Amino acid sequence: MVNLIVVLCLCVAGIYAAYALWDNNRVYSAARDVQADMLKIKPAVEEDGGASFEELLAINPDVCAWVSLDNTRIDYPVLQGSTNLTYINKDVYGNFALAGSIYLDTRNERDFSDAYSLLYGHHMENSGMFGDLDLYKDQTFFDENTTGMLILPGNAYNLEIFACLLIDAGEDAIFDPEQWQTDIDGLLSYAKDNSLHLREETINKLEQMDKPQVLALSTCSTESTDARTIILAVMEPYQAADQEES
Amino acid sequence: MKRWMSIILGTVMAVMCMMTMTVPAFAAENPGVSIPVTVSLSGTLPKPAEDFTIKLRADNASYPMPEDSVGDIYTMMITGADTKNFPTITYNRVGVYTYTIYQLAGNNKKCTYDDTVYALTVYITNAEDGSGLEATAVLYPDSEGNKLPGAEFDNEYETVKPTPTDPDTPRTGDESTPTYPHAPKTGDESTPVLYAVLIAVSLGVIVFLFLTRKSKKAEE
Repeated sequence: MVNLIVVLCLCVAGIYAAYALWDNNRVYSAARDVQADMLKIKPAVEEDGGASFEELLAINPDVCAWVSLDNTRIDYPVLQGSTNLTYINKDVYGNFALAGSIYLDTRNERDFSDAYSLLYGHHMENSGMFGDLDLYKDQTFFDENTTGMLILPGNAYNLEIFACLLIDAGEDAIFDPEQWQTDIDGLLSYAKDNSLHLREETINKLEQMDKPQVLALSTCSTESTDARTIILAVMEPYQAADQEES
Repeated sequence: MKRWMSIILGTVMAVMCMMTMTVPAFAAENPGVSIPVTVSLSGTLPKPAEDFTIKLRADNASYPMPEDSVGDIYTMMITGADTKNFPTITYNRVGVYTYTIYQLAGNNKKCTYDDTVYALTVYITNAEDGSGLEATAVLYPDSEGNKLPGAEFDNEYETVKPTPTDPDTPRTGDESTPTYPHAPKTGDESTPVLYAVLIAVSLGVIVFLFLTRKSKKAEE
């Protein structure tokens, strides 16, 4: 009988140790390169525009999208926390990380149904997080690179970049998303007046759209502590674009 | 026999208690930051690996510090090329807290020690949703630049080319010069070993008990 108890205890101890080892390994390997891990489970867009977020949502239910900009290293899951600081120093696993995560403003709808949605990301070294938004400050890069993608669990959007701005962190036109939800024209005229680089024809197209949607990507700028680099992009439903072509 | 068993049981219990204590506690109420530090090496590495001294110093003695700090300085040792985190600093008051992270130069004359000074700023604010305090931490090199995911010190050893004809040059024993460019091993090494030992011991005792029981039955 005593033997049985000892064997049971040892089994429990052994199983616990095996679990702890596995868990340790999982957590630490995750810390090593979160982006590489994430790219392995990046949702693939299917024909109907939908994508499977199961694996990402299993890691963190706060994941609401995936954003990528072509010819940059920006290719990340997007999260929405309970406050706008929830993910400023937290990776997708919920671990403390100085690089934080890419996240959607809490005032925005997490299904990106808003007319104006605002994303934040740190300006990290080696093009980490939104570090590559800097590239668009260069006129040539801005002219040659206009495309990106926003993938959601139910649908996807082609992104077409139309403005690059260098502004102050206190600028309401950009950092108060609620004011543009019914009428986006004010944002467009602000962009026209304050952009570093602008693509007029894209703005014209945007003004013709029935239900225009704009995505802003914001990151700190090295110019000063309160300076922000902003990229504005039109969100065009992926499926609609496909149908136009066919 | 019984005594022997109670000793094993006691040991297992003690080890398990120890492990539950090492599980990191993420306090929901008070935010904390834990900054990773990486030492990377190049050139001909010494044997055994050198210990590097990394310091975290508060710019003001009243700022929160990791446990086991001496005054406003916490000292962390990193052996060889490795990545380790400073223990978590927890905050219970709104404010802006600044620290510097630097490496103390060692005594090895063949090593050029990275003297980069990193500036850590931690902003503690009230959460918008009233759930308590929130922390925002940013790390910069001393000259203003991009944000960093962690502090890194690149130490460079002289590359020794062994010349067997020269009696003055001692044999280094290691002709290959391994470099470890940014290959951090994360986490503390001791715990996984502990777990592995625990698995081995558990399995060993189970097998032993099983065998002795069998032989007992055979005797009967």
